[in-house]
Amino acid sequence: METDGTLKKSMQDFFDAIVASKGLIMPLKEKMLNAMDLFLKMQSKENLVSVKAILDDAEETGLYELDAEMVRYRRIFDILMSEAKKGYILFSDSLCNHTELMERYILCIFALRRIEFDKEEKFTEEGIQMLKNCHISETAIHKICETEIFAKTEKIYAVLAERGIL
Amino acid sequence: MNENKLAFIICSNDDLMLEEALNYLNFLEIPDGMEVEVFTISDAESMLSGMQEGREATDAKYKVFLHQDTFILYPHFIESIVSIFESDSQIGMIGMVGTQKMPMDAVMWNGDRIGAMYTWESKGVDYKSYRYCLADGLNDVVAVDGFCFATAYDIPLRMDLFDGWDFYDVSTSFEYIRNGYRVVVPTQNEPWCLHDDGMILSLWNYDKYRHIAMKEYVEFFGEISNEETFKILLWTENSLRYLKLCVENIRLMSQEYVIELYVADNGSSDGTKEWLSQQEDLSYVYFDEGRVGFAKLLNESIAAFGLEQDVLIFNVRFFPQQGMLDKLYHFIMSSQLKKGIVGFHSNGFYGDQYVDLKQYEDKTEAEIFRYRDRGLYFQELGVHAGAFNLQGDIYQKIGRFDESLIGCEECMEDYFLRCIQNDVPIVVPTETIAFFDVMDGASLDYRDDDNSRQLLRDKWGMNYFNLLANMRLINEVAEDSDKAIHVLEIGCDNAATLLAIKNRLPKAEVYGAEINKKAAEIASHFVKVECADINVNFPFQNIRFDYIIFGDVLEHLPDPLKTLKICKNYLNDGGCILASIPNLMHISVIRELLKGNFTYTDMGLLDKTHIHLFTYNEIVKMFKEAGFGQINIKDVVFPIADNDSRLIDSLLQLEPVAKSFMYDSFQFIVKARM
Repeated sequence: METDGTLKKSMQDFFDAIVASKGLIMPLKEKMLNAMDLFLKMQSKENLVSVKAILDDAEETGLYELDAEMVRYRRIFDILMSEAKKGYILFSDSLCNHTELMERYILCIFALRRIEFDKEEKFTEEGIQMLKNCHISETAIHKICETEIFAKTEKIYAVLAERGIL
Repeated sequence: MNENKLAFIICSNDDLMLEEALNYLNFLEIPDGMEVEVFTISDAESMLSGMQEGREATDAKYKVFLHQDTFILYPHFIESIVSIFESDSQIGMIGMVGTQKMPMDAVMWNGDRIGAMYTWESKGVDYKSYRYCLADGLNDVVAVDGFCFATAYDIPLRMDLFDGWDFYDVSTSFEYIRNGYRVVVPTQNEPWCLHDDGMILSLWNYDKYRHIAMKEYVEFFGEISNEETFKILLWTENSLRYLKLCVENIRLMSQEYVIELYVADNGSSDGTKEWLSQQEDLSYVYFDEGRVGFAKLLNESIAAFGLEQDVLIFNVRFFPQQGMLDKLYHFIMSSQLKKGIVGFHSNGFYGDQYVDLKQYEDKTEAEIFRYRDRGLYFQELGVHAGAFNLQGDIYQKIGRFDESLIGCEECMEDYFLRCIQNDVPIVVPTETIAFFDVMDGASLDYRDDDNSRQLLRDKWGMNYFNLLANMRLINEVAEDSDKAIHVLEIGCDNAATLLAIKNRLPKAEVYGAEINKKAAEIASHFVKVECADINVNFPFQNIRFDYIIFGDVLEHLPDPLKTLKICKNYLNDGGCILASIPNLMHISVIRELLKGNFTYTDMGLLDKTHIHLFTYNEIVKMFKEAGFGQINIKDVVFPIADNDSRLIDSLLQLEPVAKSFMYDSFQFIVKARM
């Protein structure tokens, strides 16, 4: 347990490092997004997956995690790499740029959350249909449920299995 | 104001997130008789400006402010919020998660939080055993997390300070408390909200607002951890009575904090050594070679105890008050002063450290004295040597105290100048951390040492070491604190007076002219300065000044009348000359003269470097001849002995043309306009 005093000092060091790293992280992020756009437009799976190397460069600083969007891109790349390895259709299939890719990822989270909380049948059903329409892979569902905010994952898996998605 | 209405206000920059958050609002139950509306603010300049826009758009009494990535899941949310507000009219704000004690570093998630929310940290655990402790009923907090909170009253939001997307929640919580409202977090058997911020925030600008919050809301940051260690070095010399009192006082503090107490005894012969040897909770060093110089005393004590960093150094005649360590710690944390010298308020020292006890009915008022509108601290050229904090590693950076300087004053003046040369800040907090009343016996009896004074002069190539501002002159600069005046001081020395003006008037442009190169170099760390001889060249000729100051300088000039005439050309309309001038006719001079003595000295009324000598009448004549029409003169009087009073009475009988003040004024303060 840190004392307030040491905590204070370590937090200042932490924030000083953030400020110092901003100049490094932002260009890396821009470079990554540009590369993603290029390879999504080309529908080049191999090249798209290779973009993760740029993210890995940022990861070495440990500070890219301070940008929530960067964290989610890492999760997306984890999905893409896993899918590529298994020969699945990639999560990015038919998408043209990084914005569409992130939107699909977020919509999948929403859809899974609707299943988890099951507020209203119509609302939940919309979520299930969305997952069906985007042909989400088993890999992607598991990765999202493991890394995003879900607790009742067994319930989600059961519904998806019942509906033939898993 | 519609008391039966609740408005959801959401600042948004992401339509996708917003749409989903709005979907969840549709599932909330609306109590009978309650009206609900939703406002989305999409082009806000900051979170607080968005909140304000939402406030102005609705007449709802109750307002719920949401992040776009917050999904309210609890169906009875609206009813619960309204019933909490109705349960106590003093509740101004309700959060889902909050803290009862803000951590010292102002990072809420580093402290203990209460309340509940679904977040990524709850992964793999049942929601009911969520990480935050759940208290029964309502929990009073000092700050809430901004992902979702509700208010029942509109108080001013601090858009002046928090113009971004961080710390608006902490600020708003603090403002409700400052306005006398309770801020609470209700018990939630299951979290009422899910906050999907992507696991972590974007923190690029967080630190900026963290610092602003720490400066503005010093009173809200928590108590010092009882694991925090303070190192205190007491120095003493034949003051056993004071030593005992001081140690006793520090022992009381050590019930709350870890204190390492060290005592440097400079060869006392009053039983101090024997008493110290019986104390088990302190370390001491006895200089058995007898009284050593102040510099050696400090150097050897610091070396013996390993006190090279973060140490409070006190003379035992200063009594540290309870709460001092808390205040000091808060100050260090909120000012982010990583290294520097921190001084304390006293009525025994001039400059901004000085607080006149006569202003207060009770000394305790002085102990909580604060210039609230002047930031966290004043920068100084020096502080009272009897008590100061060496913050950070400045001892390692600046080096040992100069042991060739025996006297305390000379040793510290030298050290302060070395600090300034190295841009190490010397500061006095605007809020009193500790107040030392010299009437309590806090004057230092460290012996004067003429040789040290001469050594210091030789070392620095300076005759005067004016580390203290001329407060009598500064008091004549009566301007609003936000006024951008131009001030020039002729003979500014190390710029103590100009620095003090800058402390009071941050927008002032201050300039100095100083003939001594060394002093000008020191001054250049604080003000724009020209090393110039006023008799040859007037400095900064392209500027017109509101004030041109001569602090005990005119008497040193070969032709002060000519200088005043030149100065007129560089004054703004309405600008004035401020001058302090020693009075040759002071009774102490007259008495010696009556004895046949007119002996020049190193300093004072008969300073050997004075070229001109003035009386009240001569001052008036000179300013009139220089063309100044409005001449206001104040006399500076120090208490005089009874026999001097009687002598003045006798002199007035001999020559009634003279007035009493002409004899008892040590110095005159002149404010002259054309």
